[in-house]
Amino acid sequence: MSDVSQNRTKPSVENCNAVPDIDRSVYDIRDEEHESDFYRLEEGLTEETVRRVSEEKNDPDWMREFRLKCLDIYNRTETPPWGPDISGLDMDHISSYVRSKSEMKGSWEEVPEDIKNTFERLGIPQAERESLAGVGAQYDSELVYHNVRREVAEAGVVYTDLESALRGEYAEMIRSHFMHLVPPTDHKFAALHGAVWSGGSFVYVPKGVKLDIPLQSYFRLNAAGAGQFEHTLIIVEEGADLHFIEGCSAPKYNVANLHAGCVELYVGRGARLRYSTIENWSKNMYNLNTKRATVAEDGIMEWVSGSFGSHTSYLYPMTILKGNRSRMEFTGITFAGKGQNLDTGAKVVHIGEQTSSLISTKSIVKSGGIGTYRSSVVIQPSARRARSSVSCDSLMLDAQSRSDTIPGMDIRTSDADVGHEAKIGRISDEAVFYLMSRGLSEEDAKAMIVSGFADPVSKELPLEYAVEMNNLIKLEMSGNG
Amino acid sequence: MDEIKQVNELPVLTYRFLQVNGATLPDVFAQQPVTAEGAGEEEIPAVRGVHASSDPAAQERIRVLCREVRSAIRQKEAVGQVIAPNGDTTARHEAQRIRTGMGIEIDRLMEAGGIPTGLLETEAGVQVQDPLVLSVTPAETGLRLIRRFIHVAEGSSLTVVIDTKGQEETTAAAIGEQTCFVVEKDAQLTLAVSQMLPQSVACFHDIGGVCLENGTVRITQLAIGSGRSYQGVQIELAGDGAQSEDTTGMLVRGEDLCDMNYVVVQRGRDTRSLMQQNGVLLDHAVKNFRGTIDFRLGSAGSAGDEQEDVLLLSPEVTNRTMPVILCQEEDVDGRHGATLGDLAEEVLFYMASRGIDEEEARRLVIRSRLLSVARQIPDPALMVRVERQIRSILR
Repeated sequence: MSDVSQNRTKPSVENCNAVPDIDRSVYDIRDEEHESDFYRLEEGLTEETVRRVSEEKNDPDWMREFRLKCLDIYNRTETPPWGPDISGLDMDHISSYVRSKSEMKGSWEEVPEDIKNTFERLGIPQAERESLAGVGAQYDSELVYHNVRREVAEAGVVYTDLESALRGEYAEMIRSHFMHLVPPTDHKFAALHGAVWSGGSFVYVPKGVKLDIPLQSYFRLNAAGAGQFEHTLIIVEEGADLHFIEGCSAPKYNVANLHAGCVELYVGRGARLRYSTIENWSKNMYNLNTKRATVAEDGIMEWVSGSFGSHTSYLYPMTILKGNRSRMEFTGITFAGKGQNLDTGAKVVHIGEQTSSLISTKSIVKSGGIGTYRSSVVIQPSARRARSSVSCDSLMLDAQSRSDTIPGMDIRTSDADVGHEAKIGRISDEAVFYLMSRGLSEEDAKAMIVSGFADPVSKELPLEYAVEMNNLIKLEMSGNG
Repeated sequence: MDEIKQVNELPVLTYRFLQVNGATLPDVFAQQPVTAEGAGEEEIPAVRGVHASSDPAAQERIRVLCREVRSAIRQKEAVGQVIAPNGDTTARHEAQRIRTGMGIEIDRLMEAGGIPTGLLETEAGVQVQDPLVLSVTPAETGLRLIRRFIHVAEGSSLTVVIDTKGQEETTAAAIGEQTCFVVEKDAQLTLAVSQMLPQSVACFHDIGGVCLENGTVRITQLAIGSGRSYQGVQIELAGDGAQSEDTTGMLVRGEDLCDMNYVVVQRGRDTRSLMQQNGVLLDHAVKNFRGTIDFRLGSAGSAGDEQEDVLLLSPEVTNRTMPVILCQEEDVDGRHGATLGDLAEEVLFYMASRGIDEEEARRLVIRSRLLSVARQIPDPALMVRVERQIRSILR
């Protein structure tokens, strides 16, 4: 992720709580798109567009038919009536597919210079060298770089782009999992994703393999007026362990951009998967992303999610606790500033016996931002002795903003224990006064309190990412976000 | 009156699969109200200090009161730029003279049935000592509708008990009530609603009201009957320092449904709201509860608390809960909590150590939960009947 960028203060254990000075410009670097270097599909969404994407990707027949079926579902499905307004998103002015004319590379040296520079500034190659087991870097609609450490590959871990997996040894596995957890009928933008998906990663961790260091995919949408529809498919087999990190950013334009990615996660028996995201899309982005996990017996799914960017977000990672004693934890933070409407939360369905879920979220709003925490906890009759605990805290930093919590619970058995609590409030004057009496300015005092509020989320992230999150909070607090 | 009515709409929509965005009244409410008894005036006992009427002058008085409170609300809305929440449904109900929990469809149902509104009014500064007890029973068959409006004048106080009950042999009947209120400056209204209808009777009670400066409303509702029961409450704390407290106890059993939509809109400065739900679900019962605290711009210094505690005593029950907090004000304290599940093992263990078996322990806990709510209803005779009814259900 961008926290290890070369042109910013290097984080260290000593200064990680001090929040080093930061520079927003790193996210706003734009590369000019030259026709000679980039291929761009015309704007709009028609059957012809979908066929062209399919041809570009050299899809197998079943995938082409699947895309067309998804387009039909998309055209027949209404926009959800409950979320933020997305009338500013006009698919007639979005290009569904933009790619560099260069092929995907396995070495940074071979990646085209301007694209490589963007990722250098975001700190991806450095992070790969220092702390990652593998990296995938997507630029617009296609991966431009993919690599995995030799020892990780030798352990049988597959980390590759989804297109390659679709045609190789894992083709049948992809076919039997792709959009089975998130069917295109789920909602309009899942159907859209199915029709024009491009890029993304496939990860397969074999039985019993435990990765000590994370894999990371970074998604960069550089083109103006374009959509990014990457698909991430992760299968963690019995007893295996994986930490996967997803990062995303884009430069700001005056036209709408769209991100409608899809993440499908299969956690095997006794396996554990941690999926961490710090999302920092630019503030012209409509982020309509769908993430879902299914967890087998004794499996563990952990989500760590930070939502800072985008103009509008619909984001509710969902976990299906199918196996007995499977469990999930969701730790999330959302910071909505000026011009942002971030509707985020989590969903969980308990099916297996003695399943448990723990959802803990923090939400901060300021300068006219709208933050909505939306969730659902469903406990089915079969989920005997299930336990669920939900806690959501919201911090209002002014009276020009909105913070709403809309949690839902549907309990179908007596043999469950469900707890829920939520709190909305402001920064206490006493706390600010105390810190100011110790020599801090009012702005620093408030920033420190907000960082403290976000601390339970920071603690769940690797150090570098926690620093980036604190940086983003400071950026938002300063009004320059 | 041939449409099925959409009621109890959540102030903000959410995922459709949760099936909590609203409810549909059963067909029985689509029929014409029965004549005379059904569409007639409610019988109101004489209580010293309370004026009751449903004549044309009373209807005009209600119109004037509604105009005045709407104007007070508009003034509060003018404090700054309102940002609508995502999925906002409030615009659909704007035409209501007083916003109610079940929404505009109930106004339309009443108007289509030509139901006159009975006005109950206190005089300024008068503390009415005796509770006004309204006894409501369904017609033998068909639909009975009742509409009332309570005006508690400045500095006065009033207690109204609404006792909705029926005989076990009543069949194919339905009863619908709408109670609106205006609590003026420094006034107090205590509204106690008991519903003990047979399971064969469908019912709704739609409540809505406004509290002006330092006005207080306390609502206690007990619902232990009716096979299909719909309840809605919307309270607008429009005046600075206004307060509301809403306590509900419910017992839902068999294949019965209890559907609720409670909303408190806090507009004035330093307002306080408390919403408490105490419920027990048995057999195949279905309960939907929507509870919303809505802090509007200008409600600085306000606090709202919503607590739900529901005992689920059968593996076949369905409990849907939507505890919503909406907020466009910085200086507020809003919280909600929910505890849903079976009796805690420690409670059962403690009871067992005192020689009380599991079944008896459950009966004791159910009784104590419901009676703790019933005790807040200031009518000793009603309390006795509640106890008898609970005992008969748990036998």
